[in-house]
Amino acid sequence: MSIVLETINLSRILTEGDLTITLVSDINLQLSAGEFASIIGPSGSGKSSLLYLLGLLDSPTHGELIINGQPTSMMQEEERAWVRLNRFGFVFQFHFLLAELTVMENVMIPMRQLKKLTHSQMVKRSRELLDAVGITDQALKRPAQLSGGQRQRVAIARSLANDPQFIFADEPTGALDTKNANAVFDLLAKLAKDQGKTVAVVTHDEQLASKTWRRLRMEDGRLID
Amino acid sequence: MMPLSLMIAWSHLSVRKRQTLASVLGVAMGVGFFISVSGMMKGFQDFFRTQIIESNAHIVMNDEVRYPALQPAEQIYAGDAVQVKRAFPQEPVRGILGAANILDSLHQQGISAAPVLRGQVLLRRSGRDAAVSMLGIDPDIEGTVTSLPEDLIAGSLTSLNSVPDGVIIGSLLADKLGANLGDSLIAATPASIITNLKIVGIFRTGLNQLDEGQAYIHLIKQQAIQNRPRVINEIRIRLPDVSRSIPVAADLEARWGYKSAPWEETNSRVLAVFQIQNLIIYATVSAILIVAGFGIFNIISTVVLEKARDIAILRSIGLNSQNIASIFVIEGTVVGFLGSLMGWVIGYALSWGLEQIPAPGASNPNQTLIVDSSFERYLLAGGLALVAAVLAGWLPARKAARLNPLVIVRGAT
Repeated sequence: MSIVLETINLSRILTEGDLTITLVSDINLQLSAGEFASIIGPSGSGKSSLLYLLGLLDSPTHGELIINGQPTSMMQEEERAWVRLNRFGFVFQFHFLLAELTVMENVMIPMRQLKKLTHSQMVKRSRELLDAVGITDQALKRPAQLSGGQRQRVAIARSLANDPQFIFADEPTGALDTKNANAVFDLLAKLAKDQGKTVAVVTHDEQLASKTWRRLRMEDGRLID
Repeated sequence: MMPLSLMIAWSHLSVRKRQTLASVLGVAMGVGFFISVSGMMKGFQDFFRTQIIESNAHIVMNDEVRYPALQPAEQIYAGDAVQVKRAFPQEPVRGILGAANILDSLHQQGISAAPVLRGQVLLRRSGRDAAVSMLGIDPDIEGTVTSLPEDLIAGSLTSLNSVPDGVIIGSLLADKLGANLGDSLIAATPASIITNLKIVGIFRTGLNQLDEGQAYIHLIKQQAIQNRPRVINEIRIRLPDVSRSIPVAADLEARWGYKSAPWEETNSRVLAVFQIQNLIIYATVSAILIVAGFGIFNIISTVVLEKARDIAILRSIGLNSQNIASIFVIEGTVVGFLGSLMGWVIGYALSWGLEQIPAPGASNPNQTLIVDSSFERYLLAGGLALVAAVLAGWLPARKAARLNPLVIVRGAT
């Protein structure tokens, strides 16, 4: 399998006055296309911080992150936003759906920002995505009318809108019951397996992590394995 | 298809219907009052200005000079530090010398001009006195320089030709003296000549100063009772193009040496009052717009605070900070735009309402308030409102754009 993401001594150190906090320290890791990996560890171990670095939501203080062979440390914010829009899909613990918009409009946000499809193509694609996560019939409802599990499915559908190469999920099942949580993990596994997407999930749930194909264990900001 | 920023902005506003409506109304009120109040002020000033221009000559040349003439001793020792005391000043003949030449020259240039001898006269009737500025005029050409013929509400200008001791007085003066057309007045001049005058006309210009303090008799009669035969001391000039009054007056003064005042100078105090009025009015109506701007700032700031999570997710999806900022700037713009449109309707309605109100203190009882409603006024009010609204949206938008998505995403987990 080809390597699509690589980190070299990736570190993130937070400085506030005299206080320095090491969030992530000297991470060296490689992710391949179609990989379904989990980042696990106790709270405060730096797993979310690592995910944000990988997802270009945060910038490292040292080290390099290489995506598809491209170093990212010198990228401007505009470029990073472009990479996020074109290559990444994010799922967070909370769904972060826009309350004023319908389910379908929420799913269409990344497509509208990318502006590659016509309106009817966007409608068609968002219907397919909602179909894939199993909530076709909720398309015209507002997020408030949906259950927690349904909302998280909408968030996953939205993360897939621009057919991203990577999916980064931060505790995507944190607010869900076991049944829904399992369903979400099965869905992510399917995306990696069927569509060759690289999926990285942060979780503290060992049982769910066991569903992933590779476990990256963190402690005090370092990978231990 | 609506752009993404506009769609999100619209969704924020349409969910907060009540708040949005209040903000829009705030802008609309500001725009409406701006249009109607400043329009009323402009209408009044234009009306007043026209009255002044129509009733008075555009340029008045009189026998004064700007600077007192040098005395012979000063001419001899010109440039030296000489103080001449107790010099007996030359006493030239007062009046415009060579007035006939000046009038001819003006007429040849196609400029209307009429000679006047102005002098103080005390009018008396049944024990009531009034000091007036009496103008000796040529009834045949007076109409070419002022609107006196149109201002007459009784009698006629040509009667001055047929009735040698005829006088035309203002309506307020007539009321003051209790006199009517055909009545006699006793006139006393500084030259100690007392004579009888007969009212052959009454005029009303709407300017109290003229209606109460000015009267007209035939030029020859005036020269006789002032004991200044063949003298005139004022040339009243009317230009084909009133806007040229200042340069033309300067030319005349340079050429003939007599003080030539354009109407702007004669009425400079009124014009200065207009400027202060404008300052106050525009400051007041702009303040309404500024307050409306604060209203918009308030609602959009609230939205930014409430929508921190939305901003974070939009950033993570790949919207850049300009995309985020544009959402909130659009919100301000939409409120400003809707407010301006509604404000135009309110402004139009208020202007119409004001035009139905009788003008206080007008000489003509049918005169209502005049409201200027030029298209530029609507554009200005709308433009100012839009600028205020965009600014009110831009300030919180800048804050939203600077929001670090990570803090929110991390804070929520």
